[in-house]
Amino acid sequence: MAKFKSYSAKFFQDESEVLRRATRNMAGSIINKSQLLNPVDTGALRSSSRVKTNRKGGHAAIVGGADVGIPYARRQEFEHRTKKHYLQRAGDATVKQGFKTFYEMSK
Amino acid sequence: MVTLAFLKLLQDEGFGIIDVDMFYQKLTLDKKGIYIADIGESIERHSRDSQGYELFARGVNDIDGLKKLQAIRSFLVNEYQNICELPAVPPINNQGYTGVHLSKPSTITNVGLDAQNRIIYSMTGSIKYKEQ
Repeated sequence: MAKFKSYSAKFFQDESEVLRRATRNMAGSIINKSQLLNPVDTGALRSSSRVKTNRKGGHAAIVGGADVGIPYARRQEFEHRTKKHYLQRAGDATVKQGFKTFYEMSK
Repeated sequence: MVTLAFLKLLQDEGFGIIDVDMFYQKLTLDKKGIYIADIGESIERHSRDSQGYELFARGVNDIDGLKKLQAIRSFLVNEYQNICELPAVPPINNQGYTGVHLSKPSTITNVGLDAQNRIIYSMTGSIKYKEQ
């Protein structure tokens, strides 16, 4: 009888870690881009963003603005006369780069 | 810090001068040129570390930034397999990096208009390296 040893558990563990890292890197890239696109007065909004990850769910969230004491962040994102949707535009540009870019980077 | 050494490599290849038109980790509104930012933290990859980076360009007009980034991309696409070391950046880092392996850079993406209505372009890649 032939025997073999499966390393699938280790493989899935490694891949899960890479995917987690890729998601986090993608969120980091969105922050990098949003810092160039957001309207700047004092710079407080620009430097307020952080990546928050959920290890169980494997998703990343960008926190900033009101969560860290910059109450006007939401208004800038949705209501600024000319620079609104800076975070959305940063996200769109990152999505355009493709998840594969960040997956390869995180391996 | 490896991304600063990478920026020094680009300076040595004639793409600009650090703190004049090449910037590390920040690009203030009044500045134009190339700006490098880390993506995530450096991770251990077998005997080497790996760091993702993102290069941004903002030019004097809408095309200038794109041209600068295209020149860097074409240099990297031709040379990324031949670059094995990154230079030291004294006095910040006196030893440089060995065992360097650059990934092929991504294509160039239009990020959008900044607060002063100038188009920003970006490109990503990663660097595997050993500290000396």
